[in-house]
Amino acid sequence: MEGIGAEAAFMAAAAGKAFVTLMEPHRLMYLMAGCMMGLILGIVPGIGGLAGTAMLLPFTFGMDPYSAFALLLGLGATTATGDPIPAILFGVPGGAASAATVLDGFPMAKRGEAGRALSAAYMSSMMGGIFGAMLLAVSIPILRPVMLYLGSPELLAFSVLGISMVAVLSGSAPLRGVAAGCLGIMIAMIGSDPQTGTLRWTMDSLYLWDGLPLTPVLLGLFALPELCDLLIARTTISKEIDKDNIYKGQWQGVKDCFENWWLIVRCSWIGGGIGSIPGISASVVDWLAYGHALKTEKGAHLTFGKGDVRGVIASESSNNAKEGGALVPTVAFGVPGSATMAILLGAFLIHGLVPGPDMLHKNLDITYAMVWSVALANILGAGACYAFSPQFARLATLRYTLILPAVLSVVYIGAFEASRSWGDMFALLLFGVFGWLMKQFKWPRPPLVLGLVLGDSIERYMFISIERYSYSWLFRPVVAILLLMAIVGVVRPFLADVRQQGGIGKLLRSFRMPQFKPQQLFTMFFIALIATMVAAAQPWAFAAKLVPIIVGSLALLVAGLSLFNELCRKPTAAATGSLAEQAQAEIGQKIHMDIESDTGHLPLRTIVTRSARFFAYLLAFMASMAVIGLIPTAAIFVIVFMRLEGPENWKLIIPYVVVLLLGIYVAFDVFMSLPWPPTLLGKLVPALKIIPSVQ
Amino acid sequence: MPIGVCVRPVATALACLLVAASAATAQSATEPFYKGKQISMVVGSSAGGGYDTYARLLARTMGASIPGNPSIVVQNMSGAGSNRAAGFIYSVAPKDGTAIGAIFPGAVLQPLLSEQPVPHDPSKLVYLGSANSDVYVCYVRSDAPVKAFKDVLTQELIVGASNPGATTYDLPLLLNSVLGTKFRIVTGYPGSREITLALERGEVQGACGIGWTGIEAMHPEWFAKDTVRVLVQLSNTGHNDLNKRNIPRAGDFARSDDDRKVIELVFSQGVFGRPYVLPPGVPPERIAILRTAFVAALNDAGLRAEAAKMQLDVDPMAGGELQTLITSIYATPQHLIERARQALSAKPATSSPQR
Repeated sequence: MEGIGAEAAFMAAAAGKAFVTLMEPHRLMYLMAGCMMGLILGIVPGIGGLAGTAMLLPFTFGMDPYSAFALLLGLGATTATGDPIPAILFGVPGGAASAATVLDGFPMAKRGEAGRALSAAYMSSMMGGIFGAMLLAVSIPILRPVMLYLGSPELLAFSVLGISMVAVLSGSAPLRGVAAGCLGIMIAMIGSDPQTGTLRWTMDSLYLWDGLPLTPVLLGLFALPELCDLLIARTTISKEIDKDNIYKGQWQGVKDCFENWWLIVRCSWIGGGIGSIPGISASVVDWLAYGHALKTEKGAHLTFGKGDVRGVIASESSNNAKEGGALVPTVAFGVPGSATMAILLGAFLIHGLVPGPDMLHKNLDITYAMVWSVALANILGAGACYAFSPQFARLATLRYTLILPAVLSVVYIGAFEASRSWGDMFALLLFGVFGWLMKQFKWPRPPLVLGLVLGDSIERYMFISIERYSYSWLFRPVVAILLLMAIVGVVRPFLADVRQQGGIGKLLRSFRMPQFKPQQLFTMFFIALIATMVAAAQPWAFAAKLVPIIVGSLALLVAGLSLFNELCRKPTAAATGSLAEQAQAEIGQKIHMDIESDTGHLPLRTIVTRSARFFAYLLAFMASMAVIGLIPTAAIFVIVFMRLEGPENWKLIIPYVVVLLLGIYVAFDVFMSLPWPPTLLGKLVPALKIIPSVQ
Repeated sequence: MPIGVCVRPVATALACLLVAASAATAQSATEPFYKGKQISMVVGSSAGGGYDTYARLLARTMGASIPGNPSIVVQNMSGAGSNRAAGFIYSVAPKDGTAIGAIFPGAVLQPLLSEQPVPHDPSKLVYLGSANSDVYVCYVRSDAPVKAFKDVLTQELIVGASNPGATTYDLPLLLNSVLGTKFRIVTGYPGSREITLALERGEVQGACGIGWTGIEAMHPEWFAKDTVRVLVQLSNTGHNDLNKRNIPRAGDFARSDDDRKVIELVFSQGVFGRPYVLPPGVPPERIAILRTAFVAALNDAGLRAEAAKMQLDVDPMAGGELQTLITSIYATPQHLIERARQALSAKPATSSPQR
């Protein structure tokens, strides 16, 4: 007991010393500066804290370690606080880990509850960040032994448990969900295979060697469909809201968080826990927390996805906690838990700190200073957001002709930032079309993301586990427990579903002769796509094709069943009405695990022509980018769009374009110095290369 | 120019940009070429990686050594083991000396040692120099049955690796096929840090192909307390510290002259650990300016002090010397290149592990 007491006293003393040191005014200033930059980077879709941290690193060389980490962690910890703003207002995830926020936050904004959703997001971000930091603070003495216990088999089991969430996140369309999850895994396999170096599905392009980057795919899947539907509906995102309502909504959002504090605690632990496991991407913590809330919260399966504030809370509390978690392996072992942490590791060495046991004993106060920095940054970040919140909330009431051009331009550049290549643009467009079709035809998108992010680690750690331990790893206690949990998580909802349908017998009797409907074309396309991928995998080396073929076959099986279901299932309700209503009727009464399309009232013809128009804009954008470069294209796009769609007044367009261009120029050309791709104009008239982005 | 002029339609807006552009391009001919210019340094890894850290360090200093003091901006272009950046420098980047590439040594030897073809020819790049040389090593936990390099010729040793093409995979594979060592390579770790963590928790017994300076900086206590020991140096010349400690070099165990040459060919990439390149066709006088500035910057006292603080090893190799080396490597007899490539070709399926 005495030993524990002494240990606790030592920890408390270090924590106290760290707090006092951090409270010095100049260090607080650095922390605040970091927070401001983090918020801005978070709000702009597609850019995370990575580039910002890399840029700031040299400036921290001359500082003392406390100030340096305050600045860097201030930035890293608050990007997740800024992320929900575009997610809620426009349905455009501000970062990889806030895609789940879109699911409930955006419907809330549409209902006129943007203020409440934003407020709940900030508050849960802050509380999540603090809980995550607390978890880190109290677990310091056991960090190293716990981390050393987690081997590759355990990482594999964690990933499998994560992917078993597909069952929950598929909602009422389990077959489609599993098929989408499998496709996600297969997309994750694109690129050079870690076992044999086979180039899988790279179509001879260097771009795909390292696999598809996550950002353009996510922006395509989640942002473009919402923007497209906005153009189709030709409305504002939300109806007019008065000022009082915003403040009332804000207060309501705060209350929501305190009423659901236990959910926040659980979700932040999920975020902190996953964030602390090196080698598993934390970009899915939002979905894991969301799935957890969906499984455990009362009545969640009826309201989630339709604008339930708990969905926002679950997602946002988890993604702010992950940065605290990512500190764990960085500090304890020098293995960065995230890309931002890899840069932080650079700062360690400059300040003569060696990650490892010393950080938990001799330099414990510096470790605690980091914990405090993360916690304080979350408070400052949320505070700053509250200050601007009423202005943000009003953005949702703007006409689509004002919202779309700016958001779409930034989405394009955000996607380009991922790997600074034309491939990003094509990926954005392809996944935009695919995501929009999935949304229209009620294919849940979350499972695809889950498969995409976790597919790679499942394959890696499965091969390591088998190669190293043959099959004995299956009997390691943690592995066995996690895998059992995964199996139960998948089988239970399935059985409940069958029971609800009146048992297998009734299910089998509910079929009829096949009847064709146009929306089945998408399912057929899906099957054809998977089949093509499986066929292309045949000549690969055994280890390279093992997982793709297993997963592909499963996808073919479930997608085939789904098609059979669509063709031969007796309709439960009258299958008339719009495209979306028909799709809804098909998948029954259970909630659809995705955003509702609000274009259902429009005739099919209008939907098709307006969506074609939307994607024509995108194509024209890319064509123009090839000719005159990205920044001039953004200007022309905004002008053309506002004149054609509005028409907006020139008095409005000119300042709009100037401000937008200036913002883009400073952020992407000056600050991030993106290597713009060559353009036709630059080739023909080299003197024009002086114009930003004309290369 | 006042914005108000540019009201009307799209065409006018473009015209405005044109006018602004032509006004800014005017410059005097007597000034040094680089005055007021910006050099972009395209790094083949993402921000925060080792190559990026070196490039940013160099970019902060090198401009001062070039007449005209241009600013140097680092641009990250990761992908395909830096083959993307190499291809960009080779065919897309301007050939006027305002673009420098920082690529991986593996990308330099890609056409020789890898089975994946690339659409550019690294031997035709202009080499600016290399910022350091890296000595790769094999090391083991001291509680492993393998105590010295000769033991691994008879006993199996489990080593962690990331993927084919990475030194952690290629180098032990090379030793297995050329020297007959019995490294059992467990593949799939995301990077060398994860391998090191796996070593620490006992999942693997050792690792082969990790740079000595980096590992010593991160874990000085390992080697001081002999919890982890270095088996062999994977380098033609070896590292001074390790040579002093009588750590053998892999080439010493070659059984024939050809074997030695194959090993040396693959190890040669360690000599130019951080190569910097220019596109083919840059005017010779600018190549000379940049090569001089490169070495001057890396020998700058300020840069050295900063590098020492960051535990980065700086050991510049001049551009001319590196260019000669690359030419001689590319002139290696075909049968040796073929053997090296075969030795490095990926192992067969995991279902039939080679024991």
